[in-house]
Amino acid sequence: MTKGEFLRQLKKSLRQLPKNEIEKSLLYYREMIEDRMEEGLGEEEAVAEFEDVQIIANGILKEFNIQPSKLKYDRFLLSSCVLFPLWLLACFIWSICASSLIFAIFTCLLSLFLCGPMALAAFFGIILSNMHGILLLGVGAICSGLGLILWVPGCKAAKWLAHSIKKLYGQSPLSRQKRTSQGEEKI
Amino acid sequence: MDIQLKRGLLEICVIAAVREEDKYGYKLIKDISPYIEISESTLYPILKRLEAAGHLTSYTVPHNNRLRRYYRMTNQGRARIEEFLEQWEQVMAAYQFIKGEGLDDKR
Repeated sequence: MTKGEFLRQLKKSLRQLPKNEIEKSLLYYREMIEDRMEEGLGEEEAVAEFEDVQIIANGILKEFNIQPSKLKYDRFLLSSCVLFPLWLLACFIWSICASSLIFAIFTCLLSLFLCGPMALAAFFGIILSNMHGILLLGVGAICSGLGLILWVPGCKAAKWLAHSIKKLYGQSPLSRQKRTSQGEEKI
Repeated sequence: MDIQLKRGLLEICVIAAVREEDKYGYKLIKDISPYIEISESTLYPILKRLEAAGHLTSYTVPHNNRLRRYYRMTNQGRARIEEFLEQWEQVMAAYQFIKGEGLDDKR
């Protein structure tokens, strides 16, 4: 995350505060990032050393007696009523789409491989001396070659699709909300 | 460590860190962290509380085309440290009692 992204997220999370307090917090964190960068850290490294933006914002809001319980409740409500059903729907749709794509990839690869032997059989079995037979054999050889060339990228694409399904299932809005709440227990 | 105890200790550490010279936020973290765990997100509310209580004041200084905020100890801050040190002697006496040290001497 860059300095700009971090400060934008922090500003958004502190929107309940008066403008001058938001500005003070942003100046403090901007100075901290720039001091770290002066010591030789990269921009993203400097930002990565901070805690989650939401945890930082909750700590500041607590100082102004803005009830974290209300914040937690609002987030829980948003997560459970809106984000969770949307996430479930996205998981369902993407699982079907990705599985279909994986199936299609392997079907295509198999078809390409089978073209070679089929063309060979056609060449010998049907029209041995005809030009059409040679053409058929050539097309079959090309298809088999393509099948061989595309095998590795096809497998990689299928693996990526399978991984994307797994990743999507691991990003439940409720579990993310739980992680943020755990962070709030710190000082 | 108990959260309230740590919070109190951190406040004293921050005041003590600017006892000799004025310091900016990142320098405070670097100077305090070898002794007690402190992060940017922990320091910020502490600085706000100490400023609001009049134990610290702050001012900005231009540095490399930007502004750096420095913190300075006030007389109230100095008094807070002295008060803490006095109280700590009582705490240490209680600590020795809890640990069972020095009981024989008193008998």
